[in-house]
Amino acid sequence: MPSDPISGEAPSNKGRLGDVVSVFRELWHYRDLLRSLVSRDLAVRYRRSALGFVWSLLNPLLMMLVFTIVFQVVKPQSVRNYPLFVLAGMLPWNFLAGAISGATRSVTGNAHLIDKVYFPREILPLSVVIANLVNFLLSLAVFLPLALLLGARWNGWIFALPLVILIEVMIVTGISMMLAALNVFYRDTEQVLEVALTAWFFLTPVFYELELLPNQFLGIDVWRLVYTLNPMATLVTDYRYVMLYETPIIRHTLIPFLIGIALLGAGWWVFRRVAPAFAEEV
Amino acid sequence: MARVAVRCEDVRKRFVIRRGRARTFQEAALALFQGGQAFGQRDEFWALDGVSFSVEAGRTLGIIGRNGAGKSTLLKLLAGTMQPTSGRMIANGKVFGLLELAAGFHPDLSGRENVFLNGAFLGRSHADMAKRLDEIIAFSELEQFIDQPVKHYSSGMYMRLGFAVALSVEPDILIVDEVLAVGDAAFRQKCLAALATAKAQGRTILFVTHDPGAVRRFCDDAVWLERGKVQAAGPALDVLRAYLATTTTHGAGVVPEGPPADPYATPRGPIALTGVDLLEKGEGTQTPFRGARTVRAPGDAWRMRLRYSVSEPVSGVSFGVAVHRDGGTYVLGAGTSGARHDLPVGDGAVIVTTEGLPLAPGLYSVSAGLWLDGASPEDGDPPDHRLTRAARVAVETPRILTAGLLAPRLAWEWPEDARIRTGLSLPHPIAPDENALSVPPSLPTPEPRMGRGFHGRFLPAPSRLTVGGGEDEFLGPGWHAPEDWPPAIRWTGWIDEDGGSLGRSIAAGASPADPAYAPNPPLDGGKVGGRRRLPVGTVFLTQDEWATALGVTLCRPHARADDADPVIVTIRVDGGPVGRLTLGAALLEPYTFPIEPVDTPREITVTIEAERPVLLDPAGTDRRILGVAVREVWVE
Repeated sequence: MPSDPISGEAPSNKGRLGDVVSVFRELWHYRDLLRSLVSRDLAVRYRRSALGFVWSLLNPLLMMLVFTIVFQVVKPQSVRNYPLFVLAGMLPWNFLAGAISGATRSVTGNAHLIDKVYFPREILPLSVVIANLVNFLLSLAVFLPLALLLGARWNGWIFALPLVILIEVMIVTGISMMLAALNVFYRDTEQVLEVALTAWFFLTPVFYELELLPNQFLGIDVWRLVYTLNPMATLVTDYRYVMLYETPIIRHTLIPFLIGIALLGAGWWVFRRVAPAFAEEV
Repeated sequence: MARVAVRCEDVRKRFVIRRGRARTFQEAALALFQGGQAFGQRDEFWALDGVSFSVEAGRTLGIIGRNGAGKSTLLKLLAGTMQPTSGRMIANGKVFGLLELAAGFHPDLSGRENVFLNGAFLGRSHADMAKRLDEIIAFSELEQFIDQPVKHYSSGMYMRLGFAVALSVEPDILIVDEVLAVGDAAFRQKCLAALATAKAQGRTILFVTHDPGAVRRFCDDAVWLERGKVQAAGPALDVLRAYLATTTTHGAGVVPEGPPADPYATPRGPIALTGVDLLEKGEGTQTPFRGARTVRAPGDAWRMRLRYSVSEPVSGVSFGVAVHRDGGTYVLGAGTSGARHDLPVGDGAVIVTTEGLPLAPGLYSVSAGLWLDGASPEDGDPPDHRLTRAARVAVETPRILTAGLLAPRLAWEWPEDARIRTGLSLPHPIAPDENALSVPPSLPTPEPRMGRGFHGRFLPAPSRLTVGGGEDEFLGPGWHAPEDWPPAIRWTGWIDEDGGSLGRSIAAGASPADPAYAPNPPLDGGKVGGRRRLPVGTVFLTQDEWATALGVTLCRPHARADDADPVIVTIRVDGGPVGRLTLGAALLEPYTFPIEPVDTPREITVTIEAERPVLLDPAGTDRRILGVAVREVWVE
């Protein structure tokens, strides 16, 4: 039974714990909208390009090429099979960056809808996250056989991959919801985000090994700091361990997991809290 | 008691207008350093201030009010995109607003994909929309284009698809914004028909407009909003009367935010304008202004009287009038252009009559100014006295003619091979073309040809009809379009008792050799071959509640020396005679007859009967039998 958007019985959008059930019930009612938006996103993304979906793989491949040239030719790296190493970091990172920057604009970019039609506003950032996730999974489906071919080795730990992905999805969703809501009220969220993502990218061991970070830099253990505070550092390393090296996920994975739950809860709560004001602000 | 579909209980909505509202981090930070001063400046604005009303299921409620009265805010609250600051809104059933026509269409997706996407926004599942897809495509008439990206669509195609999707959702409560103000006439009629169907299916409709005519035509009840408060609520006509009473009188302070004080509002010389009236056709300076409400139809001539009062003799006076549309659009400005006069002491008036003004329906105001000592508006001189918005005129028409500022009569010419289709099982309101009309109609009795819609009609009949003006759906059978007469004239004909027409016209290009051109049998006192002939000339009109007279502009077809006997014509309303005329000359003249006033607008059937048939060409070979030539029929 759909909740009536204008009756007193509508989900009160107050973010109380008791509303969680009704939130999900409402989302379930609008699942076809979510699905339509996701497929719209994917369809539109590649509609006018000659190579279509290939781009979502070609893009990280080209980036990989750039990093390989830069770090193998200019400053030789000790990493074994460096192209695979970079690619295994690029794919999850691109998912995060694409989803967050897309979701941040999702509410403001659909102002004409917000103003006129009632639907659960979460759908907008969620659809962007899901579209990027689908894209990510498709590129993984191409990457994994390729990796095997080029010398990656798997053991049972490969089954930890879904868990790693799940943690990343929670982090991405939480941040996306928070920034999507913030951007409605402060448009320079988009601008700040660009810089923040670049900084985050360099603090995440995408094109270098985590171990490369110094233990001692002006009296700070940068390595440990990044390790514990940047969940993506842990996750990218995890992705590599399970997809390339037969290595168990690292001990600290619990930290990103907890951060993921906290971000998801906080992000959703903030979003739900301010969503009723969207129509007046966009 | 009927089930309540929508109930508003003391609904208030406050908007906070934050001056110096921080839109960026920088501003927010600055505001902090400034002790929160810039941040704290906030003006409150109550868009809705204690609005209560309820709508019973299946009724149509009109929400009227001027711009800024709170209509849009109310709509958004009803649609659920905004929450009221206080109060409750209860809706029993699925609410859907047509204001979001085509909202969510993505330009890069095809029409088909957008149907599903748009349906999803309205909470419809993919499977649901798949079931309705054919219906939607048929209604929107986009069969060939449905797989094209919608960015290649014209705005009309866009609208059609949006409307088709919206209707397919079948909401219990439908909110209709002024979306119907756009799109071409045929599409609009189709939409109206579809809305009529929705109404007939028992859906509740909320119709938001500032067009009083639309409320009168479509709504059972009405709510009048004024500055966020309910000014009046109840039966549509009562509310409308109250609404129009304030808009058509010189009610100062009625307009929420009037124009800034006019610097020329006080007379600078010994002459002052005392008022502006709109006179009825033919009214002179002696006749008093008739009632508070001035209504004109698009295309009516305006006769405006500027009254003045002179305290000492003045010289070189010229006058000017200006017409503004409600909302401020400057529609017309004109001065006496060089014709200056000296005026003696006393009260007087000048009258200016325009040609027919094809203004779109809406509210208009008339302002007047005067210039002294040879100054004139043409030279850009400031007026010596000015009355702004001194008279108000509602331009109304029972039909929605055009979008935009003008509502002229239009004639569309289609290619020969174009075929009319509607996608609906309703008769098409537009006559195929002029030629086809001269083919004798097959309907035996003058029954209204249109289906039933809002208040029983697909399209409400007009209160004024130009017989040859293209509104042929309001004509009964038996009319003939003459070949060599002005197009805005038709002849009444005679039809046979059993439906066959005797007074048939010849299709263009037909020759006496053509079988269609069979000479009629000789006249025999209204009988041909023993069959009685019925005189025809039937027109369907709407008699408004203020109408007290029926007018007809007609003449005998030709005044021939060899047919000098006068033609006697009887005018009937719903079968009862209201007047009788003896026509001697072939000169079109207006005649009016008093009719019984009515309490609510109703449709009347006007019959124009000639008591004897007239031969078109008694001496020649053209044996067509005719009645009289009619140009216009109206109630007033």
